[in-house]
Amino acid sequence: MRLRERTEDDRVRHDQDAPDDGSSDANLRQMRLAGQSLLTAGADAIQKALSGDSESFLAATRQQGGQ
Amino acid sequence: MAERLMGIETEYAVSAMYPWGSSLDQNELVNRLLALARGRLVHLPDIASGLFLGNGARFYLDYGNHPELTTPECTNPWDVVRYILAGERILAGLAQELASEAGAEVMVFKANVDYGSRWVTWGCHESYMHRAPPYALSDQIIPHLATRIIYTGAGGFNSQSNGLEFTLSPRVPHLANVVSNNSTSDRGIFHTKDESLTKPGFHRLHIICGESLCSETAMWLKVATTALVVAMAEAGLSPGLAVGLHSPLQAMQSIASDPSCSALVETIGGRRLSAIEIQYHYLSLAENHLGDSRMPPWADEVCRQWREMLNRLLDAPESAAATLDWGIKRALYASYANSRGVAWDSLPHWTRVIAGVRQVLDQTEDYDRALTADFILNKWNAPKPAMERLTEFLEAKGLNWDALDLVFKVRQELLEIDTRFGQLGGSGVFAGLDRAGVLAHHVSGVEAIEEATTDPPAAGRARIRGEVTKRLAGRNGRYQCDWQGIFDMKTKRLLDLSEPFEAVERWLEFDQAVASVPPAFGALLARLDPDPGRRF
Repeated sequence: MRLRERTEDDRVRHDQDAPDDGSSDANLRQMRLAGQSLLTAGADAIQKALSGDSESFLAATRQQGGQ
Repeated sequence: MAERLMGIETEYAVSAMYPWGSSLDQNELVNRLLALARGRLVHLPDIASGLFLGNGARFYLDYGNHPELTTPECTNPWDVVRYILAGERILAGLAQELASEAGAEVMVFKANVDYGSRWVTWGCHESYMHRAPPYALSDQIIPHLATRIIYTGAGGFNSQSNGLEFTLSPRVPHLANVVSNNSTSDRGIFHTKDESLTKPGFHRLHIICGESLCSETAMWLKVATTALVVAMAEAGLSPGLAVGLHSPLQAMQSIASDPSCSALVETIGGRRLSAIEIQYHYLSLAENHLGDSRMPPWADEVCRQWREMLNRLLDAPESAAATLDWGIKRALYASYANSRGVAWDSLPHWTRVIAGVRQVLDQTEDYDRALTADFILNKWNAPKPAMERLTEFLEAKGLNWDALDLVFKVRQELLEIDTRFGQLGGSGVFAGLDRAGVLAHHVSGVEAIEEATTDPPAAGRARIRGEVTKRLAGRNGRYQCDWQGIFDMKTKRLLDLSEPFEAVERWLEFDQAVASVPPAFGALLARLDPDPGRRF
C-alpha cells in the first residue's frame, strides 16, 4: 500500500482527463469560476448571518458541556 | 450479504435572545422546547423524560441541557443521513414555533464546540451494531478514526486557543486519551461503552470522537466507511493491523492541523504514512473483500465513493472546498479574513504572539485578565524583555502591534461565523450556500426527507417501533417506549423489540416477558410488575 497505488480504472480515468486539446484550460477556468461563485455566495451568507456584535453573540450563546 | 444497523445521536446547541438583547434562561428554553415537542409530535414517552417519535427516532434532553436527536436504527448510510436531516427539520420547526410563542429569536446550532468556554464540547455519536468481541475492535478501528477526519472533519477553530488555529476537526483538542470509557471528560478516540440495547449476541460500537456535519457527502462517508471497517474487523480481517499508529492521539492532532492532508504519522512498524495512505489501506482491503458474507450489500458503492474522495484529496485537497465541511469553511474563512485586512497566512504568527502574551501574563498578578488589544498595548505593564522578543518576532514576519485590535475583532467574527455555519432553519451560512447552488455535497439516494419526519425506515425494528408509536400515541401515558420495546402499563404487556431485525409485531404477556427478555429490561419490568419486590 503506497500513496500512488490506484486501481486501473483510476489510471484510465486520469489518462482520459489528461490535457490534449486545451480542455484542461477550460476545466481550470471553470474551477476558478466555481471557486469565485462559492466565495461570493459565502461573503453574502456571512454578511447575513453576522450579528454585528460578535463578542456579545458569543457571550449570549454560551453552552454547557455535553458529551 | 450481511445486514447491518447503525445510527447517529446529535446534540445541538440552543439559545434564545429577546429583541432587547437579553437571553432566555437555558433551562427554561430547553424545557419549553421539550414541552412543545410533547404537544406537537406524534410520540410515545420514553422511560425518562424524552420521546420516541413516529419515525422511530428519539428526542430528549441530554447532559449539559443539549436537545438531542437520535436517528432510528438504519440498515444503510443513506437512511442515516436522511434521518439526521429529517430530525433537523423537526427541530427547526419546533424552534420556529417556540420563537413565535416566546417572542424571542430561538437559534439551534449544529456545532461541536463553544468558543466562549474553552473546555466545552458536545457530541455527535455513532453507533454500529456488530458481533465481534468488543475488546478486539479498538486496534482495528483507531487508525481509521484518527485518519478519517480528512473527509469527516467538521472544520473550525481550536476552541482552546487564544489565537485562531484552523483545524480539520475541532473535537480533536478535546480528546485526551486513545481509549476511554468517559464521554464528558477525558474522552478517548475509542470509547469502550458497550451497551448493546438488544438481546444478547449483539454489541454496539459507540464512537464519540466524531462531529456533527452539514455536508451530506461528509455525513454519508463517515457512516459508510466506518460501517465497512467494523464489518471487516468483525470478519476477522484485522484491517488496522498493518497501520497501527505509534501515537494515535498525536497523529490525530497532526492530521487535524494539516489541510494539505500530507502530514506523515508513524506506525507501530516504524513506517511514516499520510492519513490518505492509511485510508487507502482500509479501502483496498474493503475492495478485496466486497463479496464476503460479512460485507453489506452496499459496500461496492461505498468503496467507489470512498476511492473517489481519497483521489480528490490526494490530487488537490482544495478541491474539497465545495464538498466537505472543513474544505468549505477553510475557503470561506480565509477569504473573509483577507477581506477584513487580516491575512489568513498571518494567523499562525498572531496565534503564536497571543500565546506568548498569555504565557507572560499568566505569571503576573493580571493572570485573570481577558486579552484585548487595549489592555495589552495601553494598560498592561508588560515585562520589557518579553515584549521586545514578541515585537521582534512580529517584525520578522512583516507584522506590527497596530493590527492587534483588528486581529481580535476578526477572531471574534470568525468564531461567530463558525458557530452560525450550521445554524438550523435556513439562516445558517451553510444553508445560504446550499440555496445559492454553489455546493456539491448532496448524495444521490438521500431523498424524501419530509416523509422521514413522520415515517420510520423500511427495515429493522425501528419500522415496528415507528408504526406502533403512530398507532398508540396520545393514550395518556398508557404506553412507554424504549429502544428494546414498548410497554403497555395497563395490561402489563410488552412489545419485544430486543431483536434488532425484528420484522413482526410481537406482544408478550408479562410473565413471558420476564422469562424471555434481556436483563436490560429489568428495571422496567419491575415498574410493571404486579408483584412488587420481585427482582429481575
